[in-house]
Amino acid sequence: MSAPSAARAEVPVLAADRLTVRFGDRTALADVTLAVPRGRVVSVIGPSGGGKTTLLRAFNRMNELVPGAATTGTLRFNGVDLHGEEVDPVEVRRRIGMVFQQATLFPRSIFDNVVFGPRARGHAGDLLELAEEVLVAAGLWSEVAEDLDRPAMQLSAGQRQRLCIARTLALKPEVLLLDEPTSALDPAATARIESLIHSLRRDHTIVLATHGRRQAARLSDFTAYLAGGELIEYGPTEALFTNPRDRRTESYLTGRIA
Amino acid sequence: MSGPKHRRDGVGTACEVVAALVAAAFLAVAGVLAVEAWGAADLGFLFDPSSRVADRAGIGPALAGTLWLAALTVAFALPVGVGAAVYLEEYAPRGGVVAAAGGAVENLAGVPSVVYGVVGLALFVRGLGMGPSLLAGGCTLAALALPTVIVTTRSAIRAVPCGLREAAYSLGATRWQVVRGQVLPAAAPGIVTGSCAAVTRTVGEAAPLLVLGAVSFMTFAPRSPADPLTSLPTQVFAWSARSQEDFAAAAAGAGVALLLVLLVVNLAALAVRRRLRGIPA
Amino acid sequence: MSGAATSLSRRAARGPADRLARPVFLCCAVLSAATLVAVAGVLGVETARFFGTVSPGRFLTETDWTPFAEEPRFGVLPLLAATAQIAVGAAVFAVPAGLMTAVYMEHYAGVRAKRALAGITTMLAAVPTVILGYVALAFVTPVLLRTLWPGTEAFNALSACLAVGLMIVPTVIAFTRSALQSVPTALMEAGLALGAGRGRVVVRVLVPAAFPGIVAAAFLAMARAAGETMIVTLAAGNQAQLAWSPLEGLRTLTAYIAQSSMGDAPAGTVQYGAFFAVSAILLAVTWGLRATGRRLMSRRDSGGVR
Repeated sequence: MSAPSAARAEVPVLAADRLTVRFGDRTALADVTLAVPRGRVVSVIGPSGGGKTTLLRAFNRMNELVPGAATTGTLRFNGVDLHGEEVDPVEVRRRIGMVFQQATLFPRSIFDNVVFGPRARGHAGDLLELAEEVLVAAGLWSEVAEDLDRPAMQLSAGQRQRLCIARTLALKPEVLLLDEPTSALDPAATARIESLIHSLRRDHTIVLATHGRRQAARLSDFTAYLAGGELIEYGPTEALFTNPRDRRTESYLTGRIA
Repeated sequence: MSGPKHRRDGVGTACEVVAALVAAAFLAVAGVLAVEAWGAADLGFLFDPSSRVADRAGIGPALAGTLWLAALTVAFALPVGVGAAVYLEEYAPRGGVVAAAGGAVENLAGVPSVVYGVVGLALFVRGLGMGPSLLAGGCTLAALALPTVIVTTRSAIRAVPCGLREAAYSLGATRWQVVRGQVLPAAAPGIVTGSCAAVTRTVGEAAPLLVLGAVSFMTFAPRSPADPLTSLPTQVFAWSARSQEDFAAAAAGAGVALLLVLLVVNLAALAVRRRLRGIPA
Repeated sequence: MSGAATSLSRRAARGPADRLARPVFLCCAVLSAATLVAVAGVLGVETARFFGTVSPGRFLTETDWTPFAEEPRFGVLPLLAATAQIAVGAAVFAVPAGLMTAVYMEHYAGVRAKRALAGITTMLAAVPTVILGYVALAFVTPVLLRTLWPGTEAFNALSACLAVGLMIVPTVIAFTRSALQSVPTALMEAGLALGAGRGRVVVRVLVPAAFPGIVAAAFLAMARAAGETMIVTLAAGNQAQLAWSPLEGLRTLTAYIAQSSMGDAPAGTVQYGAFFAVSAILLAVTWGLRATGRRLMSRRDSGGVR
């Protein structure tokens, strides 16, 4: 199974093929086909309820935790079928990390939150060292270094979201799924998260759901426009923003920015 | 809620009088019990075995029996009930057979307690050959407490914020790690409250134990679950039935002792809940 | 990291607790479901066997209950009538008392009175019924009732009704309060705005609007009263008769089960089967009352009030 790295470069990190997700009678995602190239930032834009969150949650098999959810089509991670017989969803989630719109922290200390993932998988190494590493990467270390034992709930909204990113980084994931990570934050905190995303792109493939069109333009290499559960358009960010091929994309981009 | 509440009128006065009567009736029950029990109050009463002579009767065996029954009920009903609730909420596939059967168990909450005695007699005392023992009593009371434990635990689990579960799953926690690390700790105060209510209710039950064949005259305190079934509620019943033969005081004394046991159970639950909340939030 | 990139199956690496959790929880659920099966099964089998000997028609229509007589008769009617008398008699006291207390708590009481009443009803609900039975037998009958009616029998329906009524008052209060709370405040305020006094609004607007909920509360409380055993056994006695005076004794379904020591009837005999038939009837009565109450309540919740 271990393909030579030269060939690996051709294989997209994540690939959805005719992906459809239903919750009971409601179709949240219809027939979506798209590939996420390695080491790039892909943003997913579109109106609320258009399927952005469902797409992200499909990539790390979170949808199946919702009663009544049904997924058809295929999803591949480095060429491996994510719904294959042998695949453990728990392992999938450890390799494809996710940060939610709402920063839900565990009612424990900052440290316990950061090392939650490594502990869950039975991490053997030095947890403190790991915690420092990922908190530095998340740009939070200087603010919390002295009080790792403080309850995490005491942090500000922006700090909480960075803590969520740090605890996801502690999994050492290849892919980061960021679901509107700045929608609940003020402009200053948003700016910090954006520069953080910018620095994380060096080591990670990132899928960013956002309804900030300018955020998508600033941060991503590729952009997908999702509406009504359908993938309307997908392409290089610059091309999509300057010269959309689809009328619907155009009206979405112009209608609100103007 | 709406407007000033203290304005009096005919309806309000009537309602107030009735409310006061309800409160007075409760206080009268407590008062009658306390006054009657005064005659039995001495240290010997707590430890002495029962006697055919009213003055010498004690509740030693009955008290020990009730403590045994409480322990057995908690030991059986709590793990099984909480486990069943966790399965139904976190593991069971929706619409499955077990989910349906588990949901139906909630209907058992309305079954009169005396019916549990009839079933327990057929099943435990005779069917499994336990005889009229504390073990048979514990099993019956556990079955009686089970629906309440399941119902309250399920609602406590449902109240756990969804985001907490999702965050843990997204960080690669297994189902068991989510249950153990997030769901159960967050639901624990609710589980303790519900279980305490279930235990309070069952430990005060006399009817099912009477049907199983509880004895009211025992010369030694039970030392194992295989010993004969005896308890404070059935002792209160037996002595009440003979209240015209000077056993009224003993019955009241046993009743007060029963209430004290229930009080201790509730205080213990309160302390556990305090500690659970005290853990750094 | 790149070497392991394709291996997503690490199930084997999970701890034993992880693999054991599901089957253990499943066992708990199955065991719980088994109690339901056991109750239904035991009652069903034994009752069916009983009706193999005694015809259900005679069981339900005859008026003599003498299972241990030389020529045993199994007419459940006296027991059933006694259960109905106690349930209705208790409700006669408890429903008005509970309703008025609930109205007082919701619309008149100050914070302290409300808290005190809430505390008292909680404690009252926790009092074991055998204690209420004792008070009925040792205090209500000899002290209260004998003073009013010297001819009162030692065992009588009235003291049982009073004690059972006290037992179900917390149930009535709890359900009635939630029925009152579900009446839109706008309705109350509209009445007050029209210049009606608070008492008038309570009687004319509030109670009628909450009426289905109050009836539901009455049914749920009667279900508890019908299933109550210790109070009626102690206070109402053990005479299986169709009693017409509340000052006479009677014997309910529950009292029969609790009092006639079942050990006297060897398994397999008709007398033994009679206990299960009586239990089945009792279950049917309480379930019927509960189901009616629940139905009324869900009708209220599903938009009976607009």
